[in-house]
Amino acid sequence: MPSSLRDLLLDGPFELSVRPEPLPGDLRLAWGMALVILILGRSRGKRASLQKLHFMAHSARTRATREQTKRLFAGGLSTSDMVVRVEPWLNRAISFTTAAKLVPLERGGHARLTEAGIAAYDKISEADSIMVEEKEFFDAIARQATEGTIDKIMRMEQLL
Amino acid sequence: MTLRIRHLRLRAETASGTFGADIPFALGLNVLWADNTKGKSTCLQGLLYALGLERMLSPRREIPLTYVMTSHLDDPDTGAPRTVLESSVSVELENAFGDVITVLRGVKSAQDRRLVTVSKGPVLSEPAARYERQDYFVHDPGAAQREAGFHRMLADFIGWELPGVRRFDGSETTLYLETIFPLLYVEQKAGWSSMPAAFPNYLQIRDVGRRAVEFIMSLDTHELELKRQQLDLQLAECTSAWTTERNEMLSVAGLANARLQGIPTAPTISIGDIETSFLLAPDRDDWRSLEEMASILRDRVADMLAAEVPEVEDLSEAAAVELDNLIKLASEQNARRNSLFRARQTEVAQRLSVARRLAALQEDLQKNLDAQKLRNFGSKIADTFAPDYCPTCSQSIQDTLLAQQASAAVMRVEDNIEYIRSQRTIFQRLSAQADTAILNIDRRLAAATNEVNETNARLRALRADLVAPSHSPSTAAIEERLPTESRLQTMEDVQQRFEEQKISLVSIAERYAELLAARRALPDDRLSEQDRAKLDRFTHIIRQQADQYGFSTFPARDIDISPENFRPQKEGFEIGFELSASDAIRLKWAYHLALMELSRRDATNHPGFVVFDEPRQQATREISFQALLERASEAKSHKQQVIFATSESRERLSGFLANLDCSFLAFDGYILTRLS
Repeated sequence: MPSSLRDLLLDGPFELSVRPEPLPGDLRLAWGMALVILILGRSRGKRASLQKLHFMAHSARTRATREQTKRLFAGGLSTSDMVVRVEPWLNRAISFTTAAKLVPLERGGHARLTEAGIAAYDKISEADSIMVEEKEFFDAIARQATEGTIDKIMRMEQLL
Repeated sequence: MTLRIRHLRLRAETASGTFGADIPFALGLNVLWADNTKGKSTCLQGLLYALGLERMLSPRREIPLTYVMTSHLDDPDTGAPRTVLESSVSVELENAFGDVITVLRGVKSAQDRRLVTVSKGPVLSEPAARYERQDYFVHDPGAAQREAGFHRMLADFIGWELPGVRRFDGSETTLYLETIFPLLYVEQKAGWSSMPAAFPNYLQIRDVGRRAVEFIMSLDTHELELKRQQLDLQLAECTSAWTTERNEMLSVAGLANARLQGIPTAPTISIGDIETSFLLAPDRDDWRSLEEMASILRDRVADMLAAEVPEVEDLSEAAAVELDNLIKLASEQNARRNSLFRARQTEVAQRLSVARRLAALQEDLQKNLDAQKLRNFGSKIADTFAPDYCPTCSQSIQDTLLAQQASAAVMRVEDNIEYIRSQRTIFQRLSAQADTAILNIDRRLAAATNEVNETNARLRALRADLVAPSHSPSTAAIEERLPTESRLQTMEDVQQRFEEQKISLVSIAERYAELLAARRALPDDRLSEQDRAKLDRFTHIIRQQADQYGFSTFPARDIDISPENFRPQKEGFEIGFELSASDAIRLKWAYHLALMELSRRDATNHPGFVVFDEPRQQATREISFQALLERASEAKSHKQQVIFATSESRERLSGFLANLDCSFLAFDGYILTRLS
């Protein structure tokens, strides 16, 4: 580098600014809230336990976990092979939906959709281009993913 | 081009008597009223079923009717369930010439459900007379084209000449009725949520929505579009022929461990490029053109042929020395081959990790895109969806589900998407590099293996010489000559085939250039002047209605119809999610009526009837249908027909209809009742 240019660079004024950090899409507010709403909307009575929410959120989050869960329900995996992570981000997503008056928490650790929540669910559900794979996954396991079955999985009991 | 629905009849036979419904439809506006779940949709879907159009709703071969028509119904007197023994739907239709036919199709019946019986007369309204009857079939391959196909018959009856269209695989077919009727029949579920309509895709017709609208509006663009599609298809064929030929060249080059230089993966129209392309073969650690390698080898073979085969005695000392050298050479060659092999394994591992990273990036990109869309639509989803502030304490918050205080500044989702995309580009490039590197290593590995084999053969020959009688001819000298000759032969063969293949590539390139020129010669504008005028009038009718109906998301004059796909748009952007539910209904109503109204002045293929099955209750709560119905009632003076099924409060509805000329078909209980 010519010395004149180097001097110019070194002597000139400069400032430092913090570069914002990239964030995985599933840690975005909107994504997390939409996932909670989708899970509840596709649950019996638009209502689910926190345990089920955690289970469904964990299994829907990545392609690998989705495949793993499908295999589990198909009998290709044992319940002890499935390690469900209870994630703090999901708790935060639930809190935000609660604050937005979409999902009240009931006693005994259950969450359900309010009327506004159901309307939000309809909107998200109807939008064809949003969360396509997650919706497909929920549809695929809907019949099997009941509270009872999920309880068994979390206790590592045999499914059949 | 007219189709009028005169009468619909549903019948269900049970052990306790016959149940059924008879609904006469008049010209102009028909309002079919009954409470929810009393059978309105069953009736209207019965109409579709009678016409063999149920696969417009779902490609599955199931009957779109409720259990009342397919399995059992509750006896209104006793409340006991009664099994349906036999049921059917029939409909009376009239065309522009005043011809009337009656179509009968069994729902639960001993007859094949694919059979449709057509009587040539008004069986339902004038049952006394006798009419000629004929059976047609639906859903079988050819139902739309063959004489005995019901849809062919129905299209003829309406006066439609169905246009040819292309499938995704390039084959030709006619535009099926199932793809046209979504423009005439707005069904309760998917019908209201898509614009212009929910077209079935299982028929594999390209741009099916566009084709259907073009047909209904009878636009000239159709022919041009067909030609364009045909050219596209031929261009695609050319590309695939090119790829096949190039792959062939690659495999031929592989015979001499050579690689292709100067032939792009996609067709080029520069013939000079093809002619100057050549093959490169590995020469130890370097690459050299195959022609050059062959010429060196040719000289060596000539030298060998010129010399006589020496005897063992003359060579024994030299052979001993050469043996020592060769042993060293063999170990060097093996080492080189091993290092190539290791390099290959490294590259393969690299490619695998890049592929994994790419998959993860793709997944994350999708989630960020979802998050972006959800955020943009936030206020439509709920009042406070993904807000910038805490809904409880109103402090500003970051767009993250990590602990708020723990995270540094979070990248905006738009920037994040860009960031992931640029990363993805880098990894895609890395992946392509790894592919090329592996291919080149494979070539060199093959060449190195050849060298090792040759050295080993020579070693064996020399050892044989050293233990042979002194006057026998040297095996080593012969062994060296034969493989060299055969290698030369291979190289020459490969070179010759390569030259031949270049000629066929040139002919593909010439054809490709011709097709590109033909494509350029097609006019840029898809629509003729006449088409444009028609589309302008169509847009005008839609705007006029939007104004009349109180469309409020944005000014009605901003609504445009895309000349590309005929979807409504605003300033070049498709109108979709941002519409309020009631405006979506207004726009949908306006679009379908406009298609019909257009035919009052312009020559179109619209048959002059529209059926609206009211959208689900939730969406209609805040809309007043008065203005919509007023507009629809104009149909009568133009000899057109609108059928609207609703469960709106009867009082409100009577208010709307008080001063309208319409046929009000009200059912107080179930539409299907016991018949005397």
